[in-house]
Amino acid sequence: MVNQYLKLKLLEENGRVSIYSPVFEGETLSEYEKFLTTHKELYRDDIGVIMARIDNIKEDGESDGYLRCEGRRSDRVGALPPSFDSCKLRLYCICVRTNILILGGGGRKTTRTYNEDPQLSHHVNILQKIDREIMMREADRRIFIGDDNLMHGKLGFYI
Amino acid sequence: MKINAIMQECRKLITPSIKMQVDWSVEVANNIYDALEKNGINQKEFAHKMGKTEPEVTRWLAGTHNFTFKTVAKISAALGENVMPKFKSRTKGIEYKRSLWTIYITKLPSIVEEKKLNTFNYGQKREQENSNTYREMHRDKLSMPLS
Repeated sequence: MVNQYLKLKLLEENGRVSIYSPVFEGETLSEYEKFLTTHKELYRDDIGVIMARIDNIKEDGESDGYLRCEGRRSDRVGALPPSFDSCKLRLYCICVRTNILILGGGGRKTTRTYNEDPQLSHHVNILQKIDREIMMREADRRIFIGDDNLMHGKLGFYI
Repeated sequence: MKINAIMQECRKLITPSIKMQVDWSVEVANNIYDALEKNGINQKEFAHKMGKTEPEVTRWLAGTHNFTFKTVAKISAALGENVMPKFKSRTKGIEYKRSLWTIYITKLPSIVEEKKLNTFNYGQKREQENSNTYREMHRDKLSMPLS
């Protein structure tokens, strides 16, 4: 598989929580922006739920339940919303810290697990690669979190 | 502070009911988390107590689970604490006052009729009763002496 170059784009920040999304080389919209523009007409309520949840996370900051990463999993990739029965869409994201979220892509969940769906599996795999790369870069300080709760350093890399 | 234009556009899709649903789910999750901390119970022990798996409990605590009253009641009983959202009373109070006003407006005519209250002529009637001519005519019935 050919390595793709991407850069982590800062979407929003309010001093408490920073939200990023990857932008692949040659594209103008980030993965999360593409997710919103693709699904906002057909899944208005689901997008509303996801946006409301993100706003809660931004408001509550590190005390928010979603950012209380237990750290038991091998990676920091999670789903939003994880189990709202009425929600057909799933958005995948990386919980880097209790105050930094990287939003990826997603889609309509039609199978029991994301592994069984090629589209969802693709988005999760991308985030897992990004997560591994960020962890390596954090270890050797090529990426670090500043006092402003923003990621600094080399935010562009190949996966 | 930085806001994304596409995200801001999509915020228009957050209806009042969606906002309440998400807020309440988050509040229940936070209440459960606080109760676990207060009682010194970890998620593994809590999952075992509830007969659930750890991933299920993690989803509860993530703040986007669609709780049923039944589940919230079971959790509250297990933790010995009410984890239901504390619904804000201000809105409820305004609705209650509105409902009282509606009752007053719709029921008032029948109340007036029942009590035989001639509210329009009440002043005139009192003035009439106080006049000497009236008192003289109804001396037998009235105990008031002639002035």
